[in-house]
Amino acid sequence: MATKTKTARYGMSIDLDRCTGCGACMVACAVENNVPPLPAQATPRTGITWMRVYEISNGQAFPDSRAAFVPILCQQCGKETPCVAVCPQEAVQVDPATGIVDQMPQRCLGCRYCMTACPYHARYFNWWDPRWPPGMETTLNPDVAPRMRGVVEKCNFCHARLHSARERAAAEGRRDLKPGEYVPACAEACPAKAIVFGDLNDPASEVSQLARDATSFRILERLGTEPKIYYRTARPWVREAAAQPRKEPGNA
Amino acid sequence: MEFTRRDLLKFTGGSAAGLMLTPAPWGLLRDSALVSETWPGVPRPAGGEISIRYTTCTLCPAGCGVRARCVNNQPVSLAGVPGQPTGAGALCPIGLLGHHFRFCGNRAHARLANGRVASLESALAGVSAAIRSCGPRESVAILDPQPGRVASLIYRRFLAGLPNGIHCTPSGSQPFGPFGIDLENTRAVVSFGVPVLDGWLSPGRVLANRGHFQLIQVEAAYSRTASLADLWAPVLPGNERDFADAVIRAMHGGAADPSAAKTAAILLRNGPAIAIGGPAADKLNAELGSFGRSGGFLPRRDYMAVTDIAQVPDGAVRVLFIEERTNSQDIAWDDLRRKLGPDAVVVALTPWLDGIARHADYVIPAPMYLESLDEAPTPDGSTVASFSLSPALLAAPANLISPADFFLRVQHSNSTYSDVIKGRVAAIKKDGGGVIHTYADGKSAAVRDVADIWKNMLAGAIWMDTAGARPMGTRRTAESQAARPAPTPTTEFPLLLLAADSPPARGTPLMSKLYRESGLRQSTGAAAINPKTGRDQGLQDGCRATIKTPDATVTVQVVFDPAVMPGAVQMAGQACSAASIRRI
Repeated sequence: MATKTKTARYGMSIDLDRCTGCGACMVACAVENNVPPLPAQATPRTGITWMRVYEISNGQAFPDSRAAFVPILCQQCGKETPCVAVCPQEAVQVDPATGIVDQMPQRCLGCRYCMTACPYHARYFNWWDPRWPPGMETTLNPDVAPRMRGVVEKCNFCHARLHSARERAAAEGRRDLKPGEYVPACAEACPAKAIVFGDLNDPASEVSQLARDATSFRILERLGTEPKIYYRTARPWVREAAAQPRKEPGNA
Repeated sequence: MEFTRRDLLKFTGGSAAGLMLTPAPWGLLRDSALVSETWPGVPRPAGGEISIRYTTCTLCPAGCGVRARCVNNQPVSLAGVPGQPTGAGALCPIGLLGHHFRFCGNRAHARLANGRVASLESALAGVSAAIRSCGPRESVAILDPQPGRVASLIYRRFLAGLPNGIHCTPSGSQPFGPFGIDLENTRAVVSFGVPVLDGWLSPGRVLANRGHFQLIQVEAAYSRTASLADLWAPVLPGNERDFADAVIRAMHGGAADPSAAKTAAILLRNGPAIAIGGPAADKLNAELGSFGRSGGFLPRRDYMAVTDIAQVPDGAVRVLFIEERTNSQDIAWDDLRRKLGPDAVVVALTPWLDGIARHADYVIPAPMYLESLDEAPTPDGSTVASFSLSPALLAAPANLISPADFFLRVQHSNSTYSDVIKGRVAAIKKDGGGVIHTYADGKSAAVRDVADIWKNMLAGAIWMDTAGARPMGTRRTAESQAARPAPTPTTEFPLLLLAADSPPARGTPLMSKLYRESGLRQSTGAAAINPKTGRDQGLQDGCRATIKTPDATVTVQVVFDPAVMPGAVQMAGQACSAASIRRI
């Protein structure tokens, strides 16, 4: 009888008190997943950043201002996943073996319903063909196919790394991955070690323990979509900002 | 049998319905999807043998270990090396994109002599003639961006053979002099404008210790470090010494303003403490007794004292060699020009055409990071001497010569830069101390023979001195940059222009993620201003405006930020100045 593979529920815990907003996670993600530099006309609305670090303020004026940096990526909603529900092409699905919300660009027709439905603004549309400066194509990751113009893309917890880890495990005769064997590029790159990644189903894993920490919370938890990205902070104003976002100018 | 139009329609409809029951249309759908994914507009990553190679980052003096994932020997991603002593396993965003620098524009490819393409021999002859023509009171100077390297020793030997050779470095290149910082045991840091959390020392080392020290940021601009510090003391440029005096008074129970009093309280509660960033820091360090003790500044073995370019007499230099590294910050040309005599010759040894090369008589193209063998000496702020190599992972274009090799050629030496580095490795072996830490397995072993050290270093390893830092009681200047006082507002220039966090001198293509595509970092085209000050100046959030200073005018997009000091405007890449702002 074949051994059944253990079902995982991959998630992250991000320490907002450690994050300095350096952006290493953003560039490591772009390198790993072959996200191209966009043309000069790209703006924060049209740019593609699977992982995007936002600066939030405590709302106080000079000299009492303080900032926190909040990395936002696909929150990998585990229940009533909004992007899955609205996709007419079934281009989005939740992998029952890992809990990862996968996006299949081959099926995507570019309607962008998922972008509208995503409460976290964590999905990005390819407004242009992916282009790199001449010669830079040689630095692309061979494990990840660049996406074409006209489709939506988003964080998939560096799915190619999961495949590589599974291949290595299979080569050693294992079906299950060891803790730390599969880590997304952002978690690996964070110089502050603010991002901890692992299996939330494993009660002994660091991420699982941190998710149960008293300082841990999830963004827009009230929506009931069971996101798998947890944030931690000891600063009350950061939690308040996450629970009740302030209106920004031009976004009233 | 008669075949009617109705039969034709029936046949067509039946065929279409039948076709739907076959795999053909679904296969077509799948295939067209695959074709659309790989159509010629979408580049296809090259496959090939995957290997892991190790090197050391030389983009800044931090010397972090690098693990490069290569496909067909082409690096496709860089990451830190866990456990590497100087980098603590991390890389900054610039280090993560180090393999993309060669795709930036404005690369210097051809040797130029007075604007014309020249051979290496003619460039050498021209430079040698310029050196020979030096008068008795004229000097030959080499501007070394990172003293302490083997290349620096080559420069010194070259200059030693000349009557008036000056080995100099840009101001601020040796921020701590012969000292390192025992950050692992420091419990409080008072920073006078130093970007402690944004690129200071190696990010891995600073952030690994961040939980152990209180950070007080003293600067007028609302910088990234100020926004994350435990205490932000906004002090106008030029008033830092007064602030330091106030802190010292408060430490002895005297009256002081709230920021100084809070700083004093933190320093009294959290020792040992250090201060960094200019003469004000020296004052505080003297009071705190930060030199020569655990948790403070400790002397290290391999410091190389070099003349600050500011100390070179004006008009004294006849031939100025300037080495520019891959990620060197732009050097202010006006500051250099003052040092040049009337018939001075400037030689730029650089990978770039858009930096100092614009002002040079000779441009000698140099390899970039990862294109040639390079070295990483003891990082700034380290208390322990170290040495590692940065072997080439990429093939360099033709016509390039490293600055060190160029000077060996000028001296008609038969040695190469690589030979001289081997000499340094032999000296490490002769010294006998220290351990070799290899990146691949994270293990440390005692120094054995020269061939073994060389082989390990080329595969990714660092030598760490085991003698370590020794306490020394003398007090020395940590950073001696004079603070430029804030100008007094006038009717014409009623505002104060403050320097915000500056973007790197040269951004690789993917840095667009941080600056343009996300707005995480303020680009040079934006200026932040307090909303009240902005409205008083007739501005609106997001409007275009012109900022004018006594020296320049620039057009910017205005960003209202209540964190900015009232009466000031913050802009990246600008020096502190008086300014006015007007809506376009």
